[in-house]
Amino acid sequence: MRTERRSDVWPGDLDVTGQGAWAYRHGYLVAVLAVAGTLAALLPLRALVADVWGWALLLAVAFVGMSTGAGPAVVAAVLAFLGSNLLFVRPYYTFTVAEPASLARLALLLAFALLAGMQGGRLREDQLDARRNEREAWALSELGARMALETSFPAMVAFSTAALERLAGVAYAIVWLPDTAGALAPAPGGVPPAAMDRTAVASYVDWVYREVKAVGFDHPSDPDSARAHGWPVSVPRETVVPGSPVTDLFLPLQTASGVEGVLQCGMPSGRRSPSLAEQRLIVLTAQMLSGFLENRRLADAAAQAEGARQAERLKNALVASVSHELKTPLAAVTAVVTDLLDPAVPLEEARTRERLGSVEGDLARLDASIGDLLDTARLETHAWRPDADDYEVGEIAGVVVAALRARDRERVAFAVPDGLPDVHVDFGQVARALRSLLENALQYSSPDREVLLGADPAEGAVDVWVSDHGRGVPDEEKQLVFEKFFRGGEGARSASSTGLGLSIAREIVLANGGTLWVQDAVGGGARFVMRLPAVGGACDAS
Amino acid sequence: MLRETAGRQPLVLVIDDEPQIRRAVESILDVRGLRVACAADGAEALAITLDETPEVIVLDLSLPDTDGIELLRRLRSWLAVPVLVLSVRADERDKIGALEAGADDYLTKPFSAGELAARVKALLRRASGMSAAPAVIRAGELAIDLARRQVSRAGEPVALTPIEFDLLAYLASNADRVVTWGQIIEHVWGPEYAAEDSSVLRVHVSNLRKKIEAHPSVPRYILTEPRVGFRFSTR
Repeated sequence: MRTERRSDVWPGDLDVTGQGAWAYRHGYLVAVLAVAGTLAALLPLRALVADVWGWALLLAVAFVGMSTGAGPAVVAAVLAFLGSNLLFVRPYYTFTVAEPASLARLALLLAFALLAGMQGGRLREDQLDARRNEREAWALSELGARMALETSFPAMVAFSTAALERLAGVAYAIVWLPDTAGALAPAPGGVPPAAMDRTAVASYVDWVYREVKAVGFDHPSDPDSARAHGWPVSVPRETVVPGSPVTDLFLPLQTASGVEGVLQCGMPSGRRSPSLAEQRLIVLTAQMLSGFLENRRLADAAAQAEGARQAERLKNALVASVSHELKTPLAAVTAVVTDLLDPAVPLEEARTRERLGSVEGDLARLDASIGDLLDTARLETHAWRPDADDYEVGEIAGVVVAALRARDRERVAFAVPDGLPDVHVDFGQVARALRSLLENALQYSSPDREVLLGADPAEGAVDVWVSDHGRGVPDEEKQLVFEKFFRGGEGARSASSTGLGLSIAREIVLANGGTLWVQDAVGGGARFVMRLPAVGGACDAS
Repeated sequence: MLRETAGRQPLVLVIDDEPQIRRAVESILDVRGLRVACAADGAEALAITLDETPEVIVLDLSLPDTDGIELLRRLRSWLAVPVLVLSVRADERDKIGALEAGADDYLTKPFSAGELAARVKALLRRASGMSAAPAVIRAGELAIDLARRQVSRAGEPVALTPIEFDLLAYLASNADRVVTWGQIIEHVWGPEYAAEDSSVLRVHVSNLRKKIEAHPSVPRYILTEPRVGFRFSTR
């Protein structure tokens, strides 16, 4: 990293505290006071101090240099020279020097005072440089760490802005980002001042974004090296908009893959342009912001691509499922009805009734499939919000079982004890989820085996479960079984013919503040467990 | 447009904007000996009711010119005719809205012909002032003798308190139909209790379930209709 002498450092932004800070800000006053004070202190002792007044003044000048800088030290040296001439060299109170030895002494004093003052000033500035470098390094490493950890862009902008204010004397910093249409707008996180002329600023921002050049930055003494370190090509403000009152700095947020946006930095009113050192901080911060923005954009693009792939997969599965599950019963119904309508085939009552019976079955299947698809769509679009109230688990179970076909109903046995706490859920939704679990269990165990519907109290919750005597769910499918359209290997499950039933159940249970999982049932088969929040108890949804 | 099939047959007004549904409902009711008038929208329905008061109204909630529930309120303001609401919407809130607006029963599309006919006939019986229920109501293992005020399960007598019996008798007389908390309270306790909240009722229903249900924790006779009331199931 290049370091240049900080003779042009603006004093106001440096963290020089206490007495030193006051001295630094009022360097020339300190010079005058220090010299005048020393002279005043020595004056009563003029007879005693004889020829040693020079040492005291040299000390004063060195103090001025070390506490304020080289400029005031030079002034102090000259003042010390004049003051001692006036007060300590005979004849007193004139600038006339009577003795040649005094003249030599005065000349030596001036020379030593200048040397001591300038050396002190240089020490002071080196100290400030070191402190500033350390602070810059800290700030930049903190910014870098933030960039790696921070996911929120507004937080990143707010943090960068604060760093610029603290270290570069910037009054405000705004990051302009292009929207989807390419129009630039301030990103959240930076606060533009109320008095900012948006239109005037916008023309600069647009120009910077388009031309990929900075506005208002100085040219460092070694342009080639600076360019290699990312120093921007900068133009004066007048080049962009002649006569504009805008005094801000503009910098393209540039990365290898393009321009992410524009950083605008405003200096406090009445302040001159930032020093080269401050500009370098702005450039470094902009580089970090650009990197953050590029990372975010690439991550977004990757997530979108993944989302699109996922959506594509679901869409394909949906199309396959819809065409199979809706078209198959429709085809069967159409075949039967057109057959019955065929004038060439005589209508036989027994046969007609039998065939219409199959039509009824197909229509029921069609209705169930459409219901699955609608429920999935309602859950996906969050159009089906739970409307929770307090219910007994058995009330919900009773309604679900009553709606089953008679021969299915006969197969359901109960293990729901008395005295369970009520659950706080949406009745209709949980009934829908439980129906999926029951239908799933009935479908995947042999028709002569019963299915057990049970409930147990849990911590702040009630576990409602359905056990079957089917083949069970292998461990590697215990999560997958709740995925939409999941169809596993041999003996695998899907809660309904559409392959949506278990995913609907899971979405519903989650929306009601519960959890749904599958475990192995005692004695083989699967047990699907819904943990539902109990009244007055927070459901442990872990 | 009235279709006269038999002069003295009760008239059913079917309000539905879908011609296929009107045709199907008309055919189902017509073949079972009822007179049917059809309206495609609210305006036509009001015009028909001015012409002749129907005995039962079958109303679809989604109409082109007005909201079905709004039409139901308007009809209710001057007609005491029982209303059976049809809807494709399985949403609980629609069901509650319709029942609160004065619907007597609710049927979700798709429905079977037998179910529709049974519901319409039950409403007609109620409207004609005759008891909808025979002297002994049977459902599964349960037998409810309204005249003797006796209940048995699988042949074993069940001892009920007078309130529990009234509650069960009222629910069973309206079997397979949603009865609202308000209707039950008004009928069992009397109109002056109509504003009472439903928690007392829920306690009585809970006690009743313990006595008549095979699995009181999972009822099969007295089913909960969330936020509305109860339904006695004979299925």
